[in-house]
Amino acid sequence: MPDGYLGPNTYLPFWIIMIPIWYYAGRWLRTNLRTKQVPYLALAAAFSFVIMMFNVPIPGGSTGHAVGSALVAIVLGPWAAVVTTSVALLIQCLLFGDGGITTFGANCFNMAVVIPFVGYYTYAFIAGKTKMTDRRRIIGSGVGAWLGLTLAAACAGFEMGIQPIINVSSAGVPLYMPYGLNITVPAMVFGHAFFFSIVEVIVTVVAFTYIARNDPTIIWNYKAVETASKPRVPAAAA
Amino acid sequence: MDKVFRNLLIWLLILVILVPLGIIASGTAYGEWGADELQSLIGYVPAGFASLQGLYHAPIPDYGTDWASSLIGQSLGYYLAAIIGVGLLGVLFYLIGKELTKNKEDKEDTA
Repeated sequence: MPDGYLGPNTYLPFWIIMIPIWYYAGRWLRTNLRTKQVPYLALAAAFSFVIMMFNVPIPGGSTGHAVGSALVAIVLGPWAAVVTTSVALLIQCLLFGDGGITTFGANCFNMAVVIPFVGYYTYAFIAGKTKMTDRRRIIGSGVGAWLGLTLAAACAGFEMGIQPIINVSSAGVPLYMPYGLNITVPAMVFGHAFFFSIVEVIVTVVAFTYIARNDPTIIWNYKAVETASKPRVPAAAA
Repeated sequence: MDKVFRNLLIWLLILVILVPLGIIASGTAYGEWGADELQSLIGYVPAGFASLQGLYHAPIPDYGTDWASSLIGQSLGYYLAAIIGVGLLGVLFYLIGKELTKNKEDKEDTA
């Protein structure tokens, strides 16, 4: 969302919410990042940036794009995705004028928090205690990517759609986003659910499947997944 | 170089090579209209919206696509933006990652 679509009573709270989230995400990365993952972290941040440059046209003349942060969340952990996606969004905003300064907190909340956490936990829920190469994990990664981006779009639609309710001039004219929830939420959800989230699903499933099959040790929680997926051996037989 | 990393890097480079596909879509994303587009959509520019315009001027607006009108010129600008963004983020996160892991034994990696 560019500058001007959200009023201060909306964009300031998102900045305030994001500050502790960024702080904790940085701490998490310091504690949990492994030496072997360093090149993949760099790759993930670069990937986030370039995938967002693929604008997809949809019927009605609008465009949009995937974000790639569900994939980063599943492979490097949702907190790592908070960091890589936020910094990619920062570069977009500061260098290329894409996404506002005032709305930066809200944009990070939608794309660097909602997508990674909804994406990862949906994947983890569907995957259960299966092995890293199990089909359920692949399905989970796809469903997580779709739900993450689609819900993030709904959040953005909600943030814009409440503007004509909470920010109007004394004459009743909208000061920021002029369209209400009945228009913004369906518009954002439609474009994402049927188009951009599909792109998100494809990149997530392809890359996750490749990594899980070829070098699962890159994946942040592969040890926990391995331990949990071991068949339980009765004590007497062990 | 690790084979998996090398292959993922190749995929990333393919994405960079294909990046001009991203400018074929000429429409504006939902909720990202400029002042003139809002004017034609609703007949006015919201006052609060107007007051927040021009807060910041990015050095490479529109990902370098507005310096030329030809598709080739726009593609070159877009390539340059992709290379700057990918290069900057790649180098930055490589350095951050190195710094964060510099005193780690990393037993998990040898397991």
